[in-house]
Amino acid sequence: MTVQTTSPASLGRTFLPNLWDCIALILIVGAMVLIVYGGGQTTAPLSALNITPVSLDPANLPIYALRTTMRMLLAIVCSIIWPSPLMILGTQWYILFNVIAGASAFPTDLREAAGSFHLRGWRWWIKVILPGIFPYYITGAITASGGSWNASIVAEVASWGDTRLTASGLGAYIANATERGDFPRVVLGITVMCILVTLFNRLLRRPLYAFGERRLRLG
Amino acid sequence: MLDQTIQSSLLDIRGVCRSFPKGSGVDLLVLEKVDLTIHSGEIVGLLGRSGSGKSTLLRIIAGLIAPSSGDAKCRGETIVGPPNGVSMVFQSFALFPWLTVLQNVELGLEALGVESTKRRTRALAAIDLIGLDGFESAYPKELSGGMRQRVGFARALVVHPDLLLMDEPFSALDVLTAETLRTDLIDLWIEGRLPIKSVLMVTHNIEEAVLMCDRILVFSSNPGRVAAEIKVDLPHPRNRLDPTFRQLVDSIYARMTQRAETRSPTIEGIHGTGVGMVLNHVSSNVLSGLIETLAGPPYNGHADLPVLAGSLQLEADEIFHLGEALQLLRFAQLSEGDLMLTDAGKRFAHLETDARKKLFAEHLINYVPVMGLIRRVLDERPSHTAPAARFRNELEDYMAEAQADETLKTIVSWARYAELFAYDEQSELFSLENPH
Repeated sequence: MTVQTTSPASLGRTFLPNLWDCIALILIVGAMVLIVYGGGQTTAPLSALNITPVSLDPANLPIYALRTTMRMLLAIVCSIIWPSPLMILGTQWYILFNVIAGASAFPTDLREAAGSFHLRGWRWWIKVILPGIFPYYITGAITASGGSWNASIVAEVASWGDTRLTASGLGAYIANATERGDFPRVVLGITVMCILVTLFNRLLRRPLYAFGERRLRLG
Repeated sequence: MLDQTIQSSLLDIRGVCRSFPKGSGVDLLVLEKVDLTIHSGEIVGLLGRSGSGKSTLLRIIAGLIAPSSGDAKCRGETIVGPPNGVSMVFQSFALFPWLTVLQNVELGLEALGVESTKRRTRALAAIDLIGLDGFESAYPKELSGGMRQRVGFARALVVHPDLLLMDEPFSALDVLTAETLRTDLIDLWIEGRLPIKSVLMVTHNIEEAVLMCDRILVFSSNPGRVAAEIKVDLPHPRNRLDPTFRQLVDSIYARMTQRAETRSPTIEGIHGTGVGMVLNHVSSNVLSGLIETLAGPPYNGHADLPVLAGSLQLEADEIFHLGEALQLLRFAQLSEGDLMLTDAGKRFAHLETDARKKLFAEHLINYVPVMGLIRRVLDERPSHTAPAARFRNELEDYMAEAQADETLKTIVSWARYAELFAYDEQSELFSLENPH
């Protein structure tokens, strides 16, 4: 004979937001406004840097691909301190929300254990909370990298009124080739991007994810 | 200057209360005026059913939560935050999965600022003591439950605490592993090899408390308070089959069922309508099964609780839940550690399914006030429907959210079995329509 011990469903719970929901909402909206404002600030110096059109010479493709990749890595790695190229704006949220989810899912018993063993300050950060949210960070970064390949096509060529900003990179290459209707170069650009995505996946994403799963996943 | 009694005691709890905020704005009292003193050299057990606030008391002592009122002192100093010289073993082990066994054990020493060679020596000694040799570089994930809890013990012991707190440390383990770990721990304790002065353990397992503790504080529930203090003078190692041991277990069972008897009327007395009664979910299948078991041989309508729990392989806590549910429905009577079928219970045992449902429905309406209330509301409304939220709000005036959840779940499950009224999960509506 077994006794039913399944956790009870929340029958008839009201869905009205409470005070904390409101505060969280205000904070998130505030953060969004800040980022958009910060992003706006950085477009000004950018326009001075790059107004030269992207060359569609395939010989330039390797260096463009490298630039896009570096930009993306920078976006993911630096996302904690929010520098503001346009791509970061698009990828920030995947990481932010995953990290928030990670922090709120951090188990109570581990929190209590850390407290009862007097872990404080930097030791608490290094040994307890950062490893705990690392898998969530990785998940966010992987999702973000997927999104940022797409974003690079749009983000590397941006128009503001009459000003046209073009960063030289793989995304801009594809965007420009598309604009000119240059079919072979569009195919070439997409092929290179596919290869890059695969390499990225194999060399960085999978090992990181496996590490996170093996060592750090809770429970 | 500290006076003599405080100096000789490790821990001194005086009139500690703790309440938690609840939906309706009135706080829920989980601990009421608890007194507890722990001296050097004893193992003290806090025994009680789930919801008796014993884990809350342990967390107050560990400095993880603050008491709402009262005085909690450790070695004469008021507890503010985790006190020095107290460490804790968790029910869920609470090991850091990204650290090896050795790193987990060393962590507490690191936080105390012990220098690295000394840290290593002490950690290895603790690992050795608790029987984890050879597992130093393993990660918790690679270990069985029993080995993980050994790491939990090593981590707690390595800081050489005066007081070791244990929160149901064996209840997540299988029966054999738990018994091995208990006896290992008691052996080390008797041989004086544990670097600690006293142990305070929380448990809901009566036999475990009698097996390990020198003193048992029995907690009553809602709100939690110390109902009795029992001294266990049996010498270690204790034998579960020893008649004195059995007698003690029986008497604690009896005491805890006595508590249950005096408790039900007081709840009704306080809340008037009795709607605020917490219903613990027990499946109607289990209830019918238990009634049949009780009606048949060898019990013939009258069972000794420890014997019944043993033959059904149930924990004391579980058998209490079942017994209380039967008592609430007037199918059985609990007293002095015995469970006796009432006439209605005996009748139930010999009925066919449909007749059983009818009898069950009758008893639900008559003896479970909230069932009567829901049925009345459904009868009165022209639509014959009512949202669950309406009753949840009423329940939360009397109990915490989690208890209201459990009570609603019980209501739905019992009402479905008795075909009293229906519940639609999607719309969260109770209704009278019964799909036949």
